[in-house]
Amino acid sequence: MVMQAHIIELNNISYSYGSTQALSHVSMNVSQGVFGLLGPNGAGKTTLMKILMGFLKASAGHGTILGHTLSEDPRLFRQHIGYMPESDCLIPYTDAVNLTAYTGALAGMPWHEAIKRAHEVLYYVGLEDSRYRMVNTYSTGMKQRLKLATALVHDPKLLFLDEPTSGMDPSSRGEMLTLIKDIAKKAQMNIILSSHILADIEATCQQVYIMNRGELVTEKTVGEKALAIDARYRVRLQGDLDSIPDVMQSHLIPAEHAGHFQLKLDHSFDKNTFFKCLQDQGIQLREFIPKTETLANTFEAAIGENHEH
Amino acid sequence: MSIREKGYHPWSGTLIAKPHHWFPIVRFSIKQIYQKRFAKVLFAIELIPFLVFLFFSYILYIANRPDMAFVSLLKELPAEVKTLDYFFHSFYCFGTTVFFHYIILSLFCGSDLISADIRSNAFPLYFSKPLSPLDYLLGKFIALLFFLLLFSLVPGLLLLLLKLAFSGFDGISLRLIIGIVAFPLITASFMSLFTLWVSSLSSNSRWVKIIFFLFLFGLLSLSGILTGISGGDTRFMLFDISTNISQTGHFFFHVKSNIVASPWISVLILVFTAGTLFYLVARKIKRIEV
Repeated sequence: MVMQAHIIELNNISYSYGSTQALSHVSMNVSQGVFGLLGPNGAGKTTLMKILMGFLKASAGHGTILGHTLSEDPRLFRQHIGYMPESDCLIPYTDAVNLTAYTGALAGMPWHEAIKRAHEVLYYVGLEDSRYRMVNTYSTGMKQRLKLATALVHDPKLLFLDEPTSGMDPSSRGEMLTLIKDIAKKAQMNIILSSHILADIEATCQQVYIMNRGELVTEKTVGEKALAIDARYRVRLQGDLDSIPDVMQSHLIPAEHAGHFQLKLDHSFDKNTFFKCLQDQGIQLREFIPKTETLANTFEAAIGENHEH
Repeated sequence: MSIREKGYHPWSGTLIAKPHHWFPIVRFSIKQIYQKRFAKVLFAIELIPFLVFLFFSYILYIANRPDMAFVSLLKELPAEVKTLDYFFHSFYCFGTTVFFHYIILSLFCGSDLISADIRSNAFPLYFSKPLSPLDYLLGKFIALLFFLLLFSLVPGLLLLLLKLAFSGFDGISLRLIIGIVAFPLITASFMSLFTLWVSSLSSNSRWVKIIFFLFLFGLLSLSGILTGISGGDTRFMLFDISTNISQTGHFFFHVKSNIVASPWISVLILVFTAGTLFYLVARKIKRIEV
C-alpha cells in the first residue's frame, strides 16, 4: 500500500465495451471532500465508477484509490468503500434492518454490531418507521434511502453515489441532497457523486469533473469555495491604465471597450490586493460586477466544445 | 425529536480484518429459506422418512428380543421390512429414499438462491463489499447443503445412534459409519451444485424449476431409451441421476446392484459432475456484470 495525498489518482484510464470506447484517457486527481462526476447519459460516469470499484479492469492506464493501485485485488479497498448504485439492487422479501445489517456483515462487521448499526443508519436516512417492512413494498424514494443506508452501514472512508436522486420526487430529492451534504459535513466522508442533474452537483459538491463521450472534458470548482478561489468580475477602470503593474495585468483580461476588463481572482490575488493596487496607482474603479458563471454555462460550453471535436 | 436530527454518527467498531465472507451469506440464506411460506410444513413432511425408518427399526428391535414375547412377530413381517434388520441394507434404503426428498428440498430451498439475485439485480450489493464470486458461491452452496444434510445426514446419524441404543455395537462397523456420512455428503453436494447451476441459468424461478425437471426427466428418458435400444444394457442407465445416486448407495452400503457397471463409477460420475457444475456456476457468477 502506498500513501497518497489524493484519495483517487487516475492516469490515462481507458475502457471499451467491445468496439465502443466508454472511457478514453481519463486522468484526474481527487483530494478529500465531495466531488461530482457530471455528464450526459452515456458519458462514461458509471463506467468510471465501476473501474474505481474494481468491477471493471481498465484496458489502459493506471491509478490508485485510497492508496491501493487499481490493479490490486479490489477486495483490499472495498472494505472502506460504500457504493450506492443507480439501479435497484435490493434483495426482496427481507426487511430493511436485516438487509442493511447483512450488507454490513458482508463488509466485515460482526453481526450484532451490524444489526445495531443498521438501526442507526436507517434512523438517519429517515426510514425509522418502515424499517421492518419488506423492501419490495418500498417506494422509489424509500429504496434510494435504503441503498444509501446499505452504503453507509460500515462507515466507509469513500462513498460512491451513482445518480442518488434518480426517480425521486422534488421533496424526496431535496431530502436526499440534504443527507448527502450532512454526511460530508458530519462524517467527513469523501464522496464521489455521479449525476446528470446539474443542480444536484451544485448543491452538494465542491468540485465537479465534467465528462462527455468517455472523456474528461473539464473540471470546475463549484459552490462557496468556487466564489472564494475562482471568482470572476466585470470591472471598468478609469485613469492611467498604462501604469497597471504586471502582477495585476495577469488577472485582467481586456474586454471590447476601452477601460473594460474581466477580472479573475484567486488565492494569490484576492479582492483586497486588487483594491490596494488600484489605490497605489491612482486608478479609479467605476464598475465592479460579479460575473456569474454558472455550472450550467460551463457544462454547456464544455459539452459543446467536445461535440465540435 | 425528528430522528434525523440525531445526525450522522461514525461507527466506532472495527471491521474484521480477514472475515469469512461466505458466512453472512450462509446465515442470511438459511434464515430467508426458513422464513419462506410453507417452509415449516415442508420440513415437517421431510421428517417422515426418518420417522418411518425409526418405527421399523423399533419393530425389528422388539421382534428380535425373545424376552419380549414378540418373536413370532418377526415371521409375520414383510420381507422388505425384514431386510432392514441388516444395517447396511437399512441405511442404503434410507439414503436412496431421501433422493426423492432431495428433489423437493432442492427446488424449495435452492431454486431461488441465485436466480432471485439475478432478478433483483442484487450483485452490486454483494460485490461492492470485499467478497469474491467464490465466497458468494460458497455461501449459497453451504446454505443449500445445510438443508439437504439436515434431512439426510442428521437423521442418518440419529438412526445410527438409536440402533446403537437398541442393539449395541452388533452389526455396526467403521465402514458403515463412513457410508452413513459420505453418502449424504456426496449426493447432497451434487444436488446442491446441480440446483445452483440451474438457478444461475435464469432470473425466472418458474423457468428454473422447469429446467430442473427437464434435466432430471430428460436424463431419465435418455437412459431408458439407450438401455432399450441396446437390448437392455444396464450401463446406459448411468445417464440417469437417480441411478447414479442409487449406485453410490450400493458402493457405500455394499448392497448388490442389478446394474452391470461397478458402483464406484457412479461415485466418480457424481464427484466429477459436481466439480464441473461448481466451475460452471463460478464462471457464470464471475461473468455477471455488476
